[in-house]
Amino acid sequence: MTTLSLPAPGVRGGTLRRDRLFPGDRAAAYLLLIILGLITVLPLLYMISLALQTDAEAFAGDPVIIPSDPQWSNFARLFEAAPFGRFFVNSFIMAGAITISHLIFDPLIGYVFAKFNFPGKNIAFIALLTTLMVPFFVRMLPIYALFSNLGWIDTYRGLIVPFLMDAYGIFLMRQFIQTLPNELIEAARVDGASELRIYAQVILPQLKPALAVLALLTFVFQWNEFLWPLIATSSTEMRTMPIGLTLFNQEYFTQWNLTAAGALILFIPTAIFFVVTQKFLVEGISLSGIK
Amino acid sequence: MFTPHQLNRRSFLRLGLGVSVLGAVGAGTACAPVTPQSSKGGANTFTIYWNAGHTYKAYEAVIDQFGKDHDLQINWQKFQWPDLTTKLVADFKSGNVPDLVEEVTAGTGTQYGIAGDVIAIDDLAKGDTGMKFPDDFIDAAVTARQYEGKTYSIPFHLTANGLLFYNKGLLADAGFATPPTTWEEFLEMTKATTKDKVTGTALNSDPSYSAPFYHQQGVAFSDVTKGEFLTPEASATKALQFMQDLIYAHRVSPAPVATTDYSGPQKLFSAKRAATFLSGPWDLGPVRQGSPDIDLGVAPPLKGSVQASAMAGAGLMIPTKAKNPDLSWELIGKLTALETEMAATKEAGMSMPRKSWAADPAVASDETLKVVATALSLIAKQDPELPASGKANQINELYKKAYQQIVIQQHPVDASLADFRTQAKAALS
Amino acid sequence: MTTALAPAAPPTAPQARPRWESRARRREAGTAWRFLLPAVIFFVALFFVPILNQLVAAANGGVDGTTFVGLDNFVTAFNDPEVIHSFTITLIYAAGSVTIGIGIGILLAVILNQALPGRTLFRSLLLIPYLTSVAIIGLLWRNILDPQIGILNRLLETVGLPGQTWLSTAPLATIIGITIWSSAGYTMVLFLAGLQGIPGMYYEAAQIDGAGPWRRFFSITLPLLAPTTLFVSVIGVIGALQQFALPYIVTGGGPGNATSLYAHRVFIVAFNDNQFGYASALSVLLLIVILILSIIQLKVGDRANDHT
Repeated sequence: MTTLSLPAPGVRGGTLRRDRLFPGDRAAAYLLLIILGLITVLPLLYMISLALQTDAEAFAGDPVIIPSDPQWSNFARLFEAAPFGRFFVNSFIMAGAITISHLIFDPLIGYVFAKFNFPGKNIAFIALLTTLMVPFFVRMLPIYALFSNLGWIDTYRGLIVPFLMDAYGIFLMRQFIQTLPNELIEAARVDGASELRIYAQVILPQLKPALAVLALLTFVFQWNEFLWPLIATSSTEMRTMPIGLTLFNQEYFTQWNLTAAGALILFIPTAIFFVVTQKFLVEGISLSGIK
Repeated sequence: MFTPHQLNRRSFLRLGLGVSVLGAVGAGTACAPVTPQSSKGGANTFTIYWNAGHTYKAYEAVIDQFGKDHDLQINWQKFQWPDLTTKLVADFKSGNVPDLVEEVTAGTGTQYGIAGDVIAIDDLAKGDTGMKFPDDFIDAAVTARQYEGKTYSIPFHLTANGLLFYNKGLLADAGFATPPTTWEEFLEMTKATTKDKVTGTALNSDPSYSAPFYHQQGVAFSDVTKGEFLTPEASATKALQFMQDLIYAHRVSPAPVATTDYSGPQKLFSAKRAATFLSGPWDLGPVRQGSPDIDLGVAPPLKGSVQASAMAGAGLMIPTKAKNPDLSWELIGKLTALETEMAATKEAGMSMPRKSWAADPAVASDETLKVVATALSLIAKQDPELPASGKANQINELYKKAYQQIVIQQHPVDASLADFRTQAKAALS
Repeated sequence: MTTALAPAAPPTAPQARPRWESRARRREAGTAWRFLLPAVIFFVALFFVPILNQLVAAANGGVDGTTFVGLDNFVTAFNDPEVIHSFTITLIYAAGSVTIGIGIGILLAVILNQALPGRTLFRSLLLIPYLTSVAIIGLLWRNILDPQIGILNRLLETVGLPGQTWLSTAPLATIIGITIWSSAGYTMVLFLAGLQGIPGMYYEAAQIDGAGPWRRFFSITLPLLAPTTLFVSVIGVIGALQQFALPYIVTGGGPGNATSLYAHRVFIVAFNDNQFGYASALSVLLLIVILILSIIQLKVGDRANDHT
């Protein structure tokens, strides 16, 4: 990563000396942040409270903020009621494989659109963008019928294949790669490197922040996906976690404590992934030229 | 084929654990595609679609034994109703169907049956004397599932909406030693019990809870052959106006909230913020569990111009493309046998469609179950033409809109009902 | 999307055409299409073929969906009051959630771009809703906002304030609010990235010239954020027009049909009413509307960009 002409990260739209919008503006900003922070976080903290409630508390009509007898056993009950360990693994495999696939294909395609010229390029790009505008369930039934014929229903393949790559990730990568200078690429070509080698050894190493962003967004989205796994699986063993959570709705009501416990467990990998990649988040998006 | 691992090591380490774990898992998956054993296609797999709220131990025992008897791998899939419907519809379209499906409500089977997606079970029933179908089953439950002489599903549960759940303590405090039996008494009682934070009753946002009210005014939801809905019109208006007035004129019920679960009134009752609520046997469990301290009373449905209750309850159907309909029928027989019904009632308080169930001493001697059985005998008949038209769901959705406009948004009753009738008629044509 | 960055190298546009150059261009095209091949296969098989399939289905109707009815489904759609209603409230939903979302996003980004202590913590906190499954968010908020048994009203009661009935009296606004709540963090991150692309020297120069902070915001920040704003707006509108989960989970489309957004309506038509041909036609119409709105936004954005 050499001399890219990018604005030095760390310039914060800074000022020579701090001049104030109005007296006390810093305090006002803090207050606003705290209020918004609370609004953001309190509902999720309530979920923790729900997860620890007893069944009686969950059925009673009086909402409880602090459970009188925290039921840590609710988390264990999840695993008794259904093979949650298996659901977790299924979710992980599905989201993980899709993320890997995106990381493989999206930058490659983005690279082509960013740095190559060829007949049909504009049409191809527009066609690609239109796929962004199609709601999933428009293509859901034909894909289901196709996979049914192929015998891919209730398999990992069936869960993964519809999402191997998408226009959003490709677009993000294209924007980012466009900002990379051509000199290194030209130099490598002159040296006689194959196109694939150029991609792997010149382009990819410069994409780290953007790849981190792509991985995070893809993983989170697929981890929380509900509709396709519902349709594409027919056996309990292949279910993913979000669907597994619906098992705790009785016919006419939701068993809140167990659902909330499941939701918290569902959140953990997302949180981990986020913590690992979050420093790249702003940098990655900013360097992708979406501005 | 290159992988992200060709990033330089420093950045790889920085990206951290996440990517490497994903990489291992992802690569593993790509190299060794896993197909689990129990897929619907397996020759000795038997797939059942069930509601997640009905997974009673009594049924588990029956299904397990069935699997052992026939050396089958049982694939028992549990869903919420809307998800079950979505999945089933997708399956019908692709031809990849389960062997046995729980039916949401009477008429669903008819709708699918006429489209050719589930079979008519009359022949199977005729050949099965042990089943005693349809003789041992309550009439209304059977006729609601028939069309032009063919029966498309078996009643599995039979419940009635319109039971009056009441808090004996709160009623006694207001001077009511016995529960109300007519609309007038009900109004009186709710007014008397509404004070401070307590309301006399709590109405539900789900439109099926309006059925007891309009049936108690002698109203039929539909008469498809005549192209009419909610007639006689004046009676329908009276019923829904009564409900609207309970909320806005007499203020004995809070306005319901548009949600997708029906537990609001039960929760209010359990929180002692409502003295009564109208529902069905499915709420017995939650009330007892959520508020064991309440002295719960269950009274028969009220009398408007007539005493009536609304039918509810799941059924069982066999998809046309099921591998072995005879086998599916055998399981239906076991699941609907009297012993199984009694076991399920004992376990979950669910009520059943067999006449022999209602006559069984265990039911007749239980105070609550006796009331439930009474309600079952008061079920208003349903119009079999509606599911046969294939538009039942659509029309029910339109009614839901009208009902919520009336009780939640306080729209004028006549206008909302008129709109509904116009749209429903349009849907039929 | 040109900015103050060093622009990418201009595309090669040779004037003369020596032989080695056209060979190079053929090589370039060859490489490009080779790399694109997996994507072409993927998108054709899993996007375009299904869409075509739906177009064909849209021209069918009848009980089993195989009778050819031509454009009937489309004509019905234009006259169907439920569809028109759904479309209208979806536009309102999109306008509300996108504009307010952008406002809040810029506000948060500007504040959290300052060197405030705890900045990283706040940025992370605000992103948590975005990382949570929409099903959970929907259920959670439905629970919290229930007028009788929800915790919000209990808390208001204890403080002596009147309870709220937003789910019944302002359902569409409530759905918009939940949408903004869950995506504010993400919008903020996008705008943060945009802010960091504005070279500090612009601000310094302006400050030396005597421009105050408000002036700097309106003359420098906002205009230079325009490309980011455009991106957020386009993506936001596309997403909003496809919103299905929140109505499905929180209100079931109610009360009445007050929150039956367009995608929810299509789902009901397909899976509840079993009218797949009609649902396909509605999906095609949605696609067309999204295309039109996106093109409009991009054109407006381009023209705005030309002015900065």
